[in-house]
Amino acid sequence: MLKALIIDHFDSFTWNIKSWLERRFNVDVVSYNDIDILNASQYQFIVISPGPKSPFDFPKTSIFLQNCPPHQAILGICLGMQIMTITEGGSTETYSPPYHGKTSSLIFLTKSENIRILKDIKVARYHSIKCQPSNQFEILAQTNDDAVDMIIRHKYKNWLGFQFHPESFLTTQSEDLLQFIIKELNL
Amino acid sequence: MKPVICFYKKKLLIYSTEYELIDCPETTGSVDFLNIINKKYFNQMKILKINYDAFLKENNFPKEKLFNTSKISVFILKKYQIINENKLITFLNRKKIFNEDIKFHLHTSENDFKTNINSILDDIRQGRFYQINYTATLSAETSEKFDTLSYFAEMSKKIGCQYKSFLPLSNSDILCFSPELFLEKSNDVVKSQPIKGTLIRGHSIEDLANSTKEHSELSMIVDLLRNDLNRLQCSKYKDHTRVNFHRKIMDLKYTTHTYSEVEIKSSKILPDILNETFPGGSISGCPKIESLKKINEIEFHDRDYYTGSIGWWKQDHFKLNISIRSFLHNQKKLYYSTGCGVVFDSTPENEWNEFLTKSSFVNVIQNSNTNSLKIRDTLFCNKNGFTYLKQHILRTQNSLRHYKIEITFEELEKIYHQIEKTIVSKILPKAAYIIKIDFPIQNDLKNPHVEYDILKEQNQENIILELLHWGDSPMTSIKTNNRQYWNYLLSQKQSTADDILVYNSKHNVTETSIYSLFYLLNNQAYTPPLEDGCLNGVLRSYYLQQGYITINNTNYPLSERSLPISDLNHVELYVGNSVRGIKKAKVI
Repeated sequence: MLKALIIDHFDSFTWNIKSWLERRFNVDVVSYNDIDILNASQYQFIVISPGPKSPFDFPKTSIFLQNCPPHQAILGICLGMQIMTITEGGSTETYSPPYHGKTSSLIFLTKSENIRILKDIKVARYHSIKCQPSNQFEILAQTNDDAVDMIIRHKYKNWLGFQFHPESFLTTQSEDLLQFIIKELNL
Repeated sequence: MKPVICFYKKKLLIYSTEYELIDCPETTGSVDFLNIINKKYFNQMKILKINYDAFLKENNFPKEKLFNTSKISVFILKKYQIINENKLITFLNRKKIFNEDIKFHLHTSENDFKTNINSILDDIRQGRFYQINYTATLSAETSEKFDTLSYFAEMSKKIGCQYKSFLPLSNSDILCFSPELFLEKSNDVVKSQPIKGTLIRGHSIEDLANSTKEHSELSMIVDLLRNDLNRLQCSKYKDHTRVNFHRKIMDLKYTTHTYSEVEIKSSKILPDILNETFPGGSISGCPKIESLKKINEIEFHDRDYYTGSIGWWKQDHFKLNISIRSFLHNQKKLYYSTGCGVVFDSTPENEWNEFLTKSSFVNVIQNSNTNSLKIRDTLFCNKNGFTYLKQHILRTQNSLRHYKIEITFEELEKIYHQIEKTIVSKILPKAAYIIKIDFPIQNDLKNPHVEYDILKEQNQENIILELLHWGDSPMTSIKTNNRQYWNYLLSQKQSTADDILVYNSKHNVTETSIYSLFYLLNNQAYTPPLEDGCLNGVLRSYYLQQGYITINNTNYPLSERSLPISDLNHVELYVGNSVRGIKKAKVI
């Protein structure tokens, strides 16, 4: 099995992400505190976890992302996607009212074949911040009800971002999401 | 010997009068202690009581303790019976009939409660957490003749619940009427049944079932419990959690809740399971680490046994509740604590109602605000410690004297130094913090309530002030935690103003909600006198004592002088306090 690493930002859903990924990967978890000393090159896939507060509260993750080779497959979830966004020159803003423990349907803005598998998905949202990615990213999907970017893809690096929580029990098609990631990031 | 009583399975109870009580020593780790108990008493039936903070790794601020029990207590039962409810009633009926009229007083005023809810809502908007469980305590005086077992029998009739227990601890009795199962392990299956969502008085069960707020609240906790149970994954089963059901209705005699069930197969044993999962998600918040920090920042009292767990343990099987809806009796005082889950769409009003609903089976006296009046001090702190410390201590000392509390400067200084030391050890280098200390108005000042937060820099050049009349509420020069009238006035201001400038009945302006006022007139500096109704600000008294104030590197002689509204246009206005310094101000 491929090796995956979750960088944990003091979140309470990290072990759910681990459990979800374990269907396809051997998963290690490392705390944000130890990000400076980790050896990332041994992992085929890296997940930047969700977490409390704002992406600016975790500067070491931005530095880590900048230092990763462009082919490194990385998925940013919620806060993780927000950190990806600000690292690549985009911005974030407070989103009110926040979506906490609620679900939304998606609309797709890309013709990519891989994403079709997700056409009926319902995704769980836990966020009070939304991303405005720079033109380094392509927006693949937005929410149906309030048009917030939910799936983004870096145009030149092997990065995917999910604003929603794929590991939540409220998200449907969690197996299809794994397949989508594996295809999209060439794992 | 008073009996130990604990829920068992279905509607059966464990009842024992022959037991040994073992308290965990302060210096022994909770995991180590439970491992020793497990080894030594593996085959015996044990009743456990575990405190909320028994497995917390971070040091909390010392808090006022209304009651104090050992972090873990274990009753080793030498003999016990499994009985049903009817049998329990006959057992307890041999005691006298309970006929005492007990009146509970709140330890947190409605005002403090709502202020804390608002502070939680601010943090939720900033993304610090999604939801948090906020609790408060009530207490009642009891007579010499008060008998805890009779009261337990009496309340059993009023409070429907599946997980009740009666624990005669070494210095107090706990009477628990919990409806919530925290963890159960049976045949290597670990289960949890978190509860969230309460039917508020005046609403129907359909309202609860259809509420998106209550739906989200429980869903978040289910995801959190899934996370905590996924931590129990073991090499033997390599299992992942399942949600067996979501949002079942639980109808109790006094209210209705919704609850769900999460489970995982695991061979881990109780000490390790609790180490991974404590305290429970439904009574902390999500994400848990930030929620626990916030609870420590804003709750006035140590939770102790409340929101910990009580239950039984035998061999590798156990069943533990979340100890909520519980009473503790100690030295003629009876305490009851309860709480509410706060999410983004909570309102202070609804949470207050939820709090009252959950207290509805005790006789609550609601208007005891004087109990909760505190002397407040707000300070600036960074890695070098507090600023203007001497002036702060002097002011607090004077304020306490006003309420006939005598304390020497040195004694008070010791308390401040202790708080300073704790805070400096916790805060980030280079960052600036605002520290809030609330001193209870009583002779024992050892555990004032302390909060700290990063100081948000206001970079604008001018503080924009809106002029408002202070009205009929009495003005005071003493700084306290009673901010009700200020909060009311602030809610009246336009959004373009940063703060409000108030004036008294003589039409003299006095101060803003957080700043003292200074003004320049003909190269002289002035500040309104205390008699006009302003607060004895630390920076204000520092400059007055020094005799001059420094504004933009120029020293101006400073004295007290009233400022009529009609003069506002002729003076250069400044505001200042010991936390934020001096700033230019403008009135709109």
